[in-house]
Amino acid sequence: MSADREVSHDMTDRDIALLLAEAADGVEIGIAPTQAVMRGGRRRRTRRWVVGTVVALAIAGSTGTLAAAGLTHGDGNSPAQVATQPPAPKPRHVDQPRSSALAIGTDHGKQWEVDLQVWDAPRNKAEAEAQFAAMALYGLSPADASHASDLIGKTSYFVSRLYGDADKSRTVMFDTVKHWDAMSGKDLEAGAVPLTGNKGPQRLVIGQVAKTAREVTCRWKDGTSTVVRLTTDPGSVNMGDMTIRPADGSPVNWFVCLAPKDTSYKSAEVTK
Amino acid sequence: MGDRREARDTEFQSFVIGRWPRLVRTAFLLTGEQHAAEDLVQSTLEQVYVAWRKVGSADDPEAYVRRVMINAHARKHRRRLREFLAPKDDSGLVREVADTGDRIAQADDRGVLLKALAQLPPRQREAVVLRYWEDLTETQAAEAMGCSVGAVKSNAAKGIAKLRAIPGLAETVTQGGRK
Repeated sequence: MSADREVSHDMTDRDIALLLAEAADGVEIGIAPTQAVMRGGRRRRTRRWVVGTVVALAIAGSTGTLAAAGLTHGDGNSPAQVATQPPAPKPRHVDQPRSSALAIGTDHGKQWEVDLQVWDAPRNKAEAEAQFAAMALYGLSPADASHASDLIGKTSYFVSRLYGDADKSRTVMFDTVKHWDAMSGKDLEAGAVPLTGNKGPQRLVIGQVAKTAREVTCRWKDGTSTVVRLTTDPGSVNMGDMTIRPADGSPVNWFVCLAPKDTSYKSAEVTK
Repeated sequence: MGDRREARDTEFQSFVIGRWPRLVRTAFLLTGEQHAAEDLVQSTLEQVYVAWRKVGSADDPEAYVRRVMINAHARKHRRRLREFLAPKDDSGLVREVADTGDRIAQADDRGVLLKALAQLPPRQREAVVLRYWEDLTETQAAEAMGCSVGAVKSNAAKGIAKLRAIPGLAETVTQGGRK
């Protein structure tokens, strides 16, 4: 025992290291899940839009497709009749995302949250490298960008889902795009994922709609439906409110629906 | 091209198999919970796989892995949601090793340490784990945490001071082993 501890019971640095080693030794070490890791890595590398097990993707609208029309992120291309405006653009910092909460709620006593991060397009290699490193800090891997330079001129977004006190924020949608898809009328793009984990009913529906959309109806497999409307308070997200809302840096609006327990996503459409 | 990818995958698999135990132990100290630790490591390695072409040929791939893992851990603390803290009474280490008196005592001691760690703010916990378990230099820890050496020093010092002040923790250690 060190002299210090004999007098005062203080722990030396070595004692701390010893305790940490003992605690770490208590972990049961299983076989490294190499295949699962590689599968997960491939999904991260290649899967765009919705990340999950089985995904449901709906593209609706008068044309049946979403036409790319050269929208760039946060460029204020929203139509004049849009009822709400996104928060004022912040100063340009490509190494920091613009973050917006899309919905917060509780389920079986546990809090869940869906957030969107939008990363401005880097203009040059230096900015791209700064952004690439910053994304790594957030634990994010942009779609189709294995090198920082792949990000130049492209906006990235990531939608993450948190559930309860699970030790994990999971990216459920992400993409890196030169131009956001233009959305108008009843265009809607949505994905459904389980509210927690990777398995179970796809109760959580997250989607994009045009700035003009005022109401989205999510239909569930049990025949019921949930209607979400354009928020009247874009500046704050209230617990339990499912709404259509703008998000900082996004030229489209976003919505979140949650299916009742024991059912799952069937379809979603803009109904007003 | 396909051969090269296969070779990279094989190299990555070897890396994962070799580093898995150590990474899980580090993640366990950060999260205080076995499943959370495994999730953290798996998620980290998935990200590493995406960048493996670059990471695998780097001088120190482990530095990259540590950085990704620490950032993944830090990220959730920016979210204001509670994380798993120390093992709860009804699960975890105490139950796992309750077959002999000595092992129960060891598990109790680990429980004290894990609870003490869980009481530290995340950055202090990260600094303590990286410096005293991973045995990183202050510079290496700063790289992993994405902060200055000064911040590592400060966080580690505060963390250690708090651990030393936890009643009962000092009693669980003796010179070279256990009391």
